[in-house]
Amino acid sequence: MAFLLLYLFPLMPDAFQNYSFDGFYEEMFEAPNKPRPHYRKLHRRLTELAPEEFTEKNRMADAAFLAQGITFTLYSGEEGTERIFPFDLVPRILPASEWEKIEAGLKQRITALNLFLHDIYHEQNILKDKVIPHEMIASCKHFRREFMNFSVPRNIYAHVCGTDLIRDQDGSYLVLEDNLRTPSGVSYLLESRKAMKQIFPNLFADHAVRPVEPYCQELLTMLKSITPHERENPMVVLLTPGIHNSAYFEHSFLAREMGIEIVQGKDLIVQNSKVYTRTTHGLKQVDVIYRRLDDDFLDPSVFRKDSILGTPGLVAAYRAGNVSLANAIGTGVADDKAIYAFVPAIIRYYLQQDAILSNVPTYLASNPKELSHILENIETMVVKPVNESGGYGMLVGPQATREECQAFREKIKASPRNYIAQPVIPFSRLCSTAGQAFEGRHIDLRPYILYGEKISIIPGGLTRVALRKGSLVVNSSQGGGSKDTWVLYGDE
Amino acid sequence: MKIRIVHRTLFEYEGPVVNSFNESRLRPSTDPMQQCLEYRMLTEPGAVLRSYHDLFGNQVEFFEINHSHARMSVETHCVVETLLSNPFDFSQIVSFEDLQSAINRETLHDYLIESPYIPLTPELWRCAMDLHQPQTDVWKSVLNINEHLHRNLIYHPGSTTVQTSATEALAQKSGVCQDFAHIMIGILRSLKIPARYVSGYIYESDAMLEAVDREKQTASHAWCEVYLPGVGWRGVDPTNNLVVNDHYVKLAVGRDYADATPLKGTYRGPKTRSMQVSVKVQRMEALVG
Amino acid sequence: MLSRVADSLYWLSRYVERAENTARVLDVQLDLSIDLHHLSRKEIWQQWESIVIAMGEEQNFNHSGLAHTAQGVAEFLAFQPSNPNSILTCIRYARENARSVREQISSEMWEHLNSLFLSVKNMDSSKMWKEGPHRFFKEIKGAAQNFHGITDATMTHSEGWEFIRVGKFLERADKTTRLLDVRHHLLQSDANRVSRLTDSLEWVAVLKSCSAFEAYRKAFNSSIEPQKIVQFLILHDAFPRSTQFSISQVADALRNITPVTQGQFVNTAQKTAGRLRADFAFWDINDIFNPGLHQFLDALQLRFNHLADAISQCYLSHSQAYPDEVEMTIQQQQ
Repeated sequence: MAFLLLYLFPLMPDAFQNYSFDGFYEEMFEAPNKPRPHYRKLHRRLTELAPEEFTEKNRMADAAFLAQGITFTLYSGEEGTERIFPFDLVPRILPASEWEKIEAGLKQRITALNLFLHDIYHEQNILKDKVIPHEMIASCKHFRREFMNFSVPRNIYAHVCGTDLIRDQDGSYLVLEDNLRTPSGVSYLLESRKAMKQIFPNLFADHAVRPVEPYCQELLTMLKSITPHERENPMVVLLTPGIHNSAYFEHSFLAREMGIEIVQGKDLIVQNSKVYTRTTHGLKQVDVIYRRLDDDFLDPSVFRKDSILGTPGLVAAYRAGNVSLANAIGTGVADDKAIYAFVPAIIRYYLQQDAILSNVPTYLASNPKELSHILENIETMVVKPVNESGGYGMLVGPQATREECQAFREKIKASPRNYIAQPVIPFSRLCSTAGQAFEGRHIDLRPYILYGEKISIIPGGLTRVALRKGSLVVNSSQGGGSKDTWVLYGDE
Repeated sequence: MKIRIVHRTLFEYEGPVVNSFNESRLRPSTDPMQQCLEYRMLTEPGAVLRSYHDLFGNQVEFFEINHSHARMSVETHCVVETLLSNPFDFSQIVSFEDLQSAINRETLHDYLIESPYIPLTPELWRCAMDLHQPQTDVWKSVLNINEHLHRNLIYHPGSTTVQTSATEALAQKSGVCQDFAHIMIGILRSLKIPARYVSGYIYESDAMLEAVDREKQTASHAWCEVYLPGVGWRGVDPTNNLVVNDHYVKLAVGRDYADATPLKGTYRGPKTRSMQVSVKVQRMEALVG
Repeated sequence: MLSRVADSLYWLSRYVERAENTARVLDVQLDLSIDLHHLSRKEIWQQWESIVIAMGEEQNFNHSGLAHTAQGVAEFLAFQPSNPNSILTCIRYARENARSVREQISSEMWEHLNSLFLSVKNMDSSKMWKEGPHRFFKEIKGAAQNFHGITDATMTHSEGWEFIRVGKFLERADKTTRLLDVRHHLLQSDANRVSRLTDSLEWVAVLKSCSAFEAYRKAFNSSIEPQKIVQFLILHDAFPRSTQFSISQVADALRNITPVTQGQFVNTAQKTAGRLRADFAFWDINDIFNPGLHQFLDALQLRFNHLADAISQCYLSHSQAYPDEVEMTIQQQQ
């Protein structure tokens, strides 16, 4: 592929020749050919790359990913085609000062969200004080009434959270959404770092980059800390839907890195309200389940009856307090995009603070006034269903046809509770490889937050990049890729 | 009235099965309208019974049978004292305006929105509008609907399955008590009257048999309840065009059948060959004498 | 380790062995047929049929509608999707099992099985006959052998590897005895049967079907004596394809899976395997021929079945035999 495009003119120094900003915030450059201080060294290195080196580095990236098994497997029928996970060589660099602000904002957010979740499932003070309308929660698809007044270890509901951030035209970070059910992507983050170290070893030497490797260890520590029973070494397992799940690579990766067993619903059995794994040496009791399975699929005897992915009786064991789940059942309430709109209010209510990281302005279709605004301005907005992830089911107004917009209007009117809309935020771009040159591509950032005995946030996070020119869609399932993210110890 | 019930369910499988996990809502509730005096559940093979209260206040029992077995029977024996001899014992007239302003939407929210078996479709809404006379008395309206459904829906076992939704049953205008109850609840909710599903038993005395069409005797029964502010929950039985009185024994309530399922579970193994149910509902005074 | 994982490793191993065995047997029979064309059609057919019988697929074959000829049998045993023991099916199942336990096997193991599957999938009868069946069977044999080599070299020799070992050797023991039983029957059954010139060729074929010809010759020089052959294939303690050797491997593996003091056993699987091993250690040729070879082999087969059941029970039972959750149709209509 890449080698077929080898041209004969020296390309790298001119690789930025036609680099355009197009009015977006450009991460690498302050002005044309003027890189920001923290990108200076990288920029110079990129311009010094000879074409062969560049091709070689691309090839190394592909090889590294393939060898380490960081592939997507697209299954059609019985054959699996392994596709290399799209990875872009140019890393995103964050100076310490920027990161510290993000970190503080994220810590604030997860603290408030956990307090919110606990409150919603207990006294519901925030509803009594009318900060959030009661209907919002009652009509929330993932609100698990069955677990009202249920106590969870350490009162923590969301142990693992992935919050998506974008940067607007002024360079301010905005929160796009919170993912508190089963956020994925951290494995790509960790593998990207491994790959980059092989591809650009000297660059690492030049920059003081904060390590991301400790993540799995921290995750395991956090999981062990929520064991319901006092034990020397609590038994932790990772529950996966199985090999056909698109995130399976990550499940398998994390289980391996943590040294824990990866299980499917059928490997577990519940007896006397305790959970056990079926092993060749009998049944072994499980204390903590890191479940990468939605609430609905956990237990066919309680939630969805057609789910063969879960374990009958699991919820009974959870209810009896004999097993802990990370994340707890019911965190989907905070995943609802309509609830997202209330997060600044939530932060103010529980912490008496203003949100450090702002939300993207959001309009709720369930609010009549906001609904008219949405319907009138749909062509300029991004409309999202409140419970979908992966970028599915949304309408990007500026890129849609008139029929599509009209059809969407009908959808919204039929079920207003299920839609929100946001203005199209022109989010930032970062220099990325495009064939044999560099061009700007839209990126976002998904930091991962672990909430256990303490809050720990992996430096940086997964930078997702929309590989297609002009595209704003960064999800891997729809043409996105990733970049390594470097948080520096200092500011350069 | 003191009522004794024996309810037996026997499952026979095509072959041995293992890892059977089951949940039941077969224990009669205790509330102002009835008292559960005696209750026991026996399973064969034997199992340890555990319980919890679900969010609707039902006492749920669950048990597992992990070893290989080819049949499973679940049997309950209970004695219940029912107290509501006169279901018309309230004098308030609740108008629709009263209803809207008085009800605490927070606690009754679940009974006003759609639920898995009861999507609130335009058809249901239209049906509700047709039946909603300019009657301002909610209770009278409910009784009208009760009668209308009894007259216009055909009670036909086998015309629906356990998965049938209210939408489907309404479209074909027939079903069994489960469907009648679902349709009624759908109509009531479309009129913004809080309504919920009730599963239980009906005692059919000789006197009642005269009033009720013999064909409609189903020992395990379903009906619905509506909420009237100042009065509370009152039951109506559209299958029989009756108002729920002391002949009815309540097992569980919920938004619809899914929340009140008497017995459900999963296992590993071949299909179920047969499921046999027998329910005996007797009045205790009659037995003694 | 998880029962389900052990189950998959055990079966993937059995399937690979089974595919190899079938390939070998077919290959040898084809070779042999060239030298036997002077036999009556019935006799030739009996030979081919015996292979199908040895695999227990007689009924299935008769239902398949395939011709009662060499081509028919080859098609049935190599490619027939409805034959759970055909080469193609075995390789497919092996790969499926491998896929579900990818973390437990090395990437080399997976890649190897995956590419084998992809190449076999594109093969069919007509292609095979055109390109020469020998080449196809050789590929299968080579791939199976490479798989074992890769497994031994790249997989840690812990519990998972032991289950692979159990599967391979149990399958081997089973198939060897079956083949011997059927072929011996063919060669000895008819009381009026006049000893043929080709008998020795057929016995050589039996040996080659077990990849034992050269080893046998080294042990016994040139004489092709049925009794010696049987002894070699069943009782030789150092030939890796003998039944004794295979059972010994299974017993060892089981003892590594659940370590226990020498001379004791903790479960039925170990007990059954241990007993078998002990018997093998003390059997001689008379123990085999006195009751009659067929009776002996039949009884042995039964014990292998018990052993397989015991292994299943003790280690794999939790994931065996039953499909995923089936909901009880217990929701009563009210």
